[in-house]
Amino acid sequence: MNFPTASQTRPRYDRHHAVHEPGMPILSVEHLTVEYGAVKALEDVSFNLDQADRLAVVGPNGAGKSTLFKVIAGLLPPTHGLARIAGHEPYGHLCISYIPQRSQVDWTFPVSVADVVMMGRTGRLGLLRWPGGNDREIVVNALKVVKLDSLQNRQIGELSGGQQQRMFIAQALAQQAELMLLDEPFSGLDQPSQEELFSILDGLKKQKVTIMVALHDLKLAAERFDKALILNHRLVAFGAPDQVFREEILQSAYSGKLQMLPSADGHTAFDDTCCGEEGHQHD
Amino acid sequence: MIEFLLAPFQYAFMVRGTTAAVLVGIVCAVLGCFVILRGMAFLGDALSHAVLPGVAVGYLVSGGARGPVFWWAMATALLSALGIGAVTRTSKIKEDTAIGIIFAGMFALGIALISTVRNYTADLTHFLFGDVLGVSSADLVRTAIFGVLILLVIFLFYKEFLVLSFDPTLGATLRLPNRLLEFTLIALIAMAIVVSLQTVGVALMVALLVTPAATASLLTRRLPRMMAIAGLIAAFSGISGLYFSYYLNIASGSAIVLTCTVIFILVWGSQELAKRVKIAARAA
Repeated sequence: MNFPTASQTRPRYDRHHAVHEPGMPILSVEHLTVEYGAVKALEDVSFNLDQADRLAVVGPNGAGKSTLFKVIAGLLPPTHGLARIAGHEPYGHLCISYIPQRSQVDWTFPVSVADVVMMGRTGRLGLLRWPGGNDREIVVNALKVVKLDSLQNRQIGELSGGQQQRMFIAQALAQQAELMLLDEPFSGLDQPSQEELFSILDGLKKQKVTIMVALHDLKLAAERFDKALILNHRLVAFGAPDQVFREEILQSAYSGKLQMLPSADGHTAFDDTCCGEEGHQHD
Repeated sequence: MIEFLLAPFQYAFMVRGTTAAVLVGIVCAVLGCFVILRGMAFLGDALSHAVLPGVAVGYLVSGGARGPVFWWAMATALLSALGIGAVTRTSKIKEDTAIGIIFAGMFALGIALISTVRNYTADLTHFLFGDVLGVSSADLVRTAIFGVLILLVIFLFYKEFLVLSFDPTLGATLRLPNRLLEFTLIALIAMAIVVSLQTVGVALMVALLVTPAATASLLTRRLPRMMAIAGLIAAFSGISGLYFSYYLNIASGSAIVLTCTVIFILVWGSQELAKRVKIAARAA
């Protein structure tokens, strides 16, 4: 898929649409603190991501993962510190997509799969403009990438969990997102659907899309991601998964709410015991 | 039969009334699709009650002329919408509570104002339950202008309203002017309420916004089709409601609303029945 430059697709109403500074990291989070009244959701979190990185964000429930995603997406202003997307604060950026948990979506909404993917074009189109042939082509291509082109006229509630997740990735592609934030995309998916999702994420990596995934499955986080970040209000650890997933680090982050599972190859596998009912789908 | 159908329309007031009912029904039904998808039914009901003091002031200052009543109602509706937003944003009070406070307060103010007039029951009844047969040519022109304006705005901002209704967070990441869009939608509801005042009155107004759209949502799973079906149901209800009103001598506003309700019950009932039959057939 070709990405038109920001100036070609700049919406007319948004005077602050941010441009990308060459040479800057796609994401840099600097001393980020978010307070809700007296409660600190995030405290002094700093890290950088390079283009095409795939980052797993793990941590106990209520550790601030959603808050972190919201700040990066420009949906929530931080109390202190900031997040920069390619050199600029996120607010004017159209290149960030935030893919919600499936449980937060109204699946009875009267739209087709293609309609939802076309929604991704809304920001780039700008007000008072209708989707044209170019937009429809982008939508069809995005649907092909996630292998949903044959289901594009279905009402969204008719899709399976894995297909629903892929539909939102197609929406992010139609948005021409360069940074995708996925909230619990693997929860409730069976093994084949998880694999299918990973093969699509691998394809996105080749297109230089940077991806942050919040998840509960520490095994997936340890084995299938370039980088991992353990969050418990503060940043507990960040780096390559084999550096991050050490027993002492995990035990301190989860303060004992973690099972150590000996696995077949002699390594220790971890299981986060504090996730919701849909978190456990290991076959 | 033909005579039966044409008889009511020998009266010019019936022709004007029916035109107004159809026009207002279609506008409210199309807008109502967004109202039910965004879960704004209570807001719609509240706004329609909250215009009453505006109606009363307009009525008192003009001595009963319709034009001023319209503009006063419009201003009051927009002011109430702003007030609900302000209370929600600036305090810990939840939106539905803020709506309740402002709606009941405004409604009481309206009744208080109207009660200062001598023949207050008759006038109050018109405002509460509508007076579609009293629609004048000037009323009809105003209704048409605002009705077309509402439909035009929905058409122009359709893709933004769709995103906002589906997921406001998506709207924010797509950098849509969410707040402005939200207020535009509320302002459209306020306008629709004011143009519909004469048809069904403030007390039954919410039915025009909600019932045809809800019925249509049972029949299709695509928004544009849902809007078309809702519009058709509303237009049909407007016409047949006035027939009922003419031949059975029942209040026109309630006849229209009852027709909408009966259509809803028929659609919902037959779908439930079909489901039961299917389950029974599978069990057998």
